[in-house]
Amino acid sequence: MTGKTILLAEDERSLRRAAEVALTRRGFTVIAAVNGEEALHLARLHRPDLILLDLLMPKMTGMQVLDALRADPATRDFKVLILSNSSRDLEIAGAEKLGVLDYWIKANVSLQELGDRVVKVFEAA
Amino acid sequence: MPLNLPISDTDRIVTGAPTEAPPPPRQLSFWTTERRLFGLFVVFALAFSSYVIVRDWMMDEMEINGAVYNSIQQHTDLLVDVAKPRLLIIEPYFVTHEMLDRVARNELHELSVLGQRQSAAIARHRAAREQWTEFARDNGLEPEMAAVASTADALLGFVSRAAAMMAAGDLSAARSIDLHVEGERLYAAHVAAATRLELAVAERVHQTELAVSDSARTWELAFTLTGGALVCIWMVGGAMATRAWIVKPVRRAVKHFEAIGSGNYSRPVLTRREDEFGEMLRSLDRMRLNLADLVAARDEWLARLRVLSRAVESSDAAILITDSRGLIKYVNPAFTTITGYSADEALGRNPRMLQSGDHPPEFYAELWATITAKKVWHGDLVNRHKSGRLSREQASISPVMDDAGNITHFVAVKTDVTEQRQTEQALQASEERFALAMAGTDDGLWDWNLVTDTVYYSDRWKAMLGYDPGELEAHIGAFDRLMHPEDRDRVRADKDRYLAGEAASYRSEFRLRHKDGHWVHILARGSAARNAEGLPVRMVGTHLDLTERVLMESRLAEAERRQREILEQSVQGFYQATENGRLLAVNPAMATILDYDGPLEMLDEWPGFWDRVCLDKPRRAEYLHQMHTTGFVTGFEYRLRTRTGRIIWAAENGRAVLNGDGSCSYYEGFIEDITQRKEAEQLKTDFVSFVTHQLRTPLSGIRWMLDLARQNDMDEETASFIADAYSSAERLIGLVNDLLDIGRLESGRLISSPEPVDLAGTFDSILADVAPLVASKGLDVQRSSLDVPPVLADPQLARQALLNLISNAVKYTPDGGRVTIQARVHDGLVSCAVQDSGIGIPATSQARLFEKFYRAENASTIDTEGTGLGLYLVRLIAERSGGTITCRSVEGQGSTFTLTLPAAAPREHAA
Repeated sequence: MTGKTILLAEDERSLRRAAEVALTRRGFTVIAAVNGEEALHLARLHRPDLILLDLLMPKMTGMQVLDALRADPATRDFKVLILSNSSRDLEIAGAEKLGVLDYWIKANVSLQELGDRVVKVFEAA
Repeated sequence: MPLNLPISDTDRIVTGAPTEAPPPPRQLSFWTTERRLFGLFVVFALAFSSYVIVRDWMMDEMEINGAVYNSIQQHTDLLVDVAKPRLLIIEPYFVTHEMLDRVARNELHELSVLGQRQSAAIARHRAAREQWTEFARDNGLEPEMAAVASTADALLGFVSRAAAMMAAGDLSAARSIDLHVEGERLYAAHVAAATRLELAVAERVHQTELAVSDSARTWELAFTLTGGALVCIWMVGGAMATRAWIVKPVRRAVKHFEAIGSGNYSRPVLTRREDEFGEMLRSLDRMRLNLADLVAARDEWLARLRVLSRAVESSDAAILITDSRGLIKYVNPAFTTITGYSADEALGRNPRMLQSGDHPPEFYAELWATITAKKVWHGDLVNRHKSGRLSREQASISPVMDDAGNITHFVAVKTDVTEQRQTEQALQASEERFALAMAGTDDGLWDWNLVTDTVYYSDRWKAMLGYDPGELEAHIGAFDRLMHPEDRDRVRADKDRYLAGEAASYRSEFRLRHKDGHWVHILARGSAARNAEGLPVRMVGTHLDLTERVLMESRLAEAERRQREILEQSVQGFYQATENGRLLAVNPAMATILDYDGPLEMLDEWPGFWDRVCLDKPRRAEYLHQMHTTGFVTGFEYRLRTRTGRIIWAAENGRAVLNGDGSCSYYEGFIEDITQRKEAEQLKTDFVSFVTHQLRTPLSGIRWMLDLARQNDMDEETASFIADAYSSAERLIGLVNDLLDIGRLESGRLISSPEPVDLAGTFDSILADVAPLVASKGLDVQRSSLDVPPVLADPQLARQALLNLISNAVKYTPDGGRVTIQARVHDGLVSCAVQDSGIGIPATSQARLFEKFYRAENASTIDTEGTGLGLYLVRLIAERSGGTITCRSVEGQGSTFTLTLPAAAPREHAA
């Protein structure tokens, strides 16, 4: 797992911090973005191995970020996981259309689970 | 098979042509052949015998004349010699010498030639003399006769004188001598004359004899020749007569006999003869005619017999003939059809073989007793077909008798009436049903004979009009009289239209006057029976008292009017529409809801009304589909566009109004404008959604931070603070999650994606979640019989529902209790039962258990933190997934919650 870069896009500070710490503790290199715009920029810059993308973010929503990534051939194949608290129906449908690995709801995932799941994603890959 | 019918003389089937009485024998003519022949013979015999007699007589006559004379003299002499009379009176002719000698010898004292009967003697003497004279004249002896006559006269004169002298008494001896001498002399003279005559006679006799002898030979020859000729004639005539009268007719008769014998009866036997032969031929002719009649009759009999045989052979009725002992001698083909036994199988056997055992022995004993008593037996027999099935036969069995009245055969004629009897039974049942129906119905019955105009009115018919059974005449006039004058023409027209064939049945409504005077509304129905020409001859039908119904109808009309008023005043929209959507009626509220000026304006908008009004067509189609499948729709909410373009939410309760045959007549619906409610709901949902989402994010942050904090080293007290905070955060998240799910399920915004869900995996995951609690309470959790197909459901929702049930079970089961999870499949559904040994649910709480925010009365004794949303959510999920949730519980003993979800189809399962 070590050496894998994860871009974490999350505007809620506590969430971002908790996740960042937890994933770093698991040996990942975590790049945190506080809004969508930053997330897109950092994604292009660092070309992370995995992007954990929140949906409701300032400046650019997660979906807009996703759209932009998919629109750009250089970033089209980035692995993206949605990590949101939004009611899933419409968002899930839209995100799945744009090819995300999974859709996790933060409220239903403990920090421990988050780490486990991310590890699993890489293992599966 | 050849028909060998025993036909008896008593048989009445064939009646021969009546034989005409033969004509009476004709009166025979007297001159029959026999008599003719006899007559001929008699004539011939008479002729021949007369010839013999005449010839003999002539011979005899000539002999007698001489003999008589001699004989008399000899006899007189002999007499005198023997009698020695004193007086002899004798005809002088016969006085002999002997007599005179006697007188002379005085032996004969008196010779009275005339005696007392002198005159008589003289008369005889004269007669004799005349004879002699005639004889002499005929024979040429007159001289001799004349001499004798003169001597006789002289002697007679002497005798007379002597007699006179003797009478006078002066007869002296002298005188006597004189007389005697004179007498002797006279007598001698007389004798001499007589002798001469005698000789002459003898001579003449001799001559005569010679003559006669010649003559006789001539006659004999003549007679013989004549006789021979006659015999010849007779024989020839006889032969010819025989030929003409006998031989030829006999030959002709023989030809007739031959013709008749060879069967040719056409040639008549004609004869004019009146004799026996003629009679014989006429008899023959009669015989011919009789024979012809007999043959014709026989041919007719044979023809009839053939026809009858054919009839018997081709009869549909089984015909069976037995001998007097009951052994089958003949069966016809129909017998085989009805009984299944062929003729070969039946012949020689006893009809007993057909017995089914359906009749008691007494039945057959009675049958046998009847026919042996020479009576005909009629009745039904249940016999057994060869195949074993039973058949009912109508049979008549008749004995057949010979001339002496002895039974020779029995003839049985049987028809299979199994079906007929069934039909009769059915008919009887039908009639009974009809009678029952008529007894049970309120209908009055009438039966009108159209020919005589007589009508049978049933008691109920009369009672309907207040009359007793005995009242009202049985005539159509009674009906006409009671008819309301205004209805009369119309009823007649109804009847005429039916009888003319323009209406399928007679049906008419009219009023009849009740005995009390009021009018009774009647519905008459009927049908006519027609004769062979198709003319109606009889009408039968019923009367139904409509008075009640008419009353009801007016009440109904009143009720409808009120209803209409209510609808007019209602704030709910109401409409009626045909199946294809055309509006039939709308109330003002409906028009108001849809921004129309009034109902009429709405009704005019056709077609295109629904197209314009309905905002989402699929939703409308869903409504109609539900209407067609179930016949009603309740609480159906959808959006409508009003005339002015406003979008409104409407809730509709609708139903299909059906015809008698189940087809949809029209449908009607009540529409309520729920736009405001909808907007409020939407507001609430949006709010909840927003709030919960906004709540979830910081909550998640809190939890994650606490989670992170837990991982740091800290003192025990701090660690427990963080653990409590984490637990609260988790519960709060759970609550918010439940609220979110409920909101989405209630609003229908949740898009579920049903897919096959493996229950075992789901349970694994759930049990892992609750494992810490289970362990801490020391519960015994059992999973059994989970070998079931996957369910078809949204995996998240299914998991949520099962998680709620299992965590409830764990939560409300005291430490050391038991939780059992079972699943089984039935009828395409999978039931998951979660059973616990917990506190149970009070009966009073069970009914409301699945309501929002409801908690069982005893729930708070265990857990004060419950929201009352868990089971409500389970219910919503079950309903959304096409499943059910049920609960069985006994307070203090435990509960069993059963969630039923549809099983995934095998194909999906495989996928």
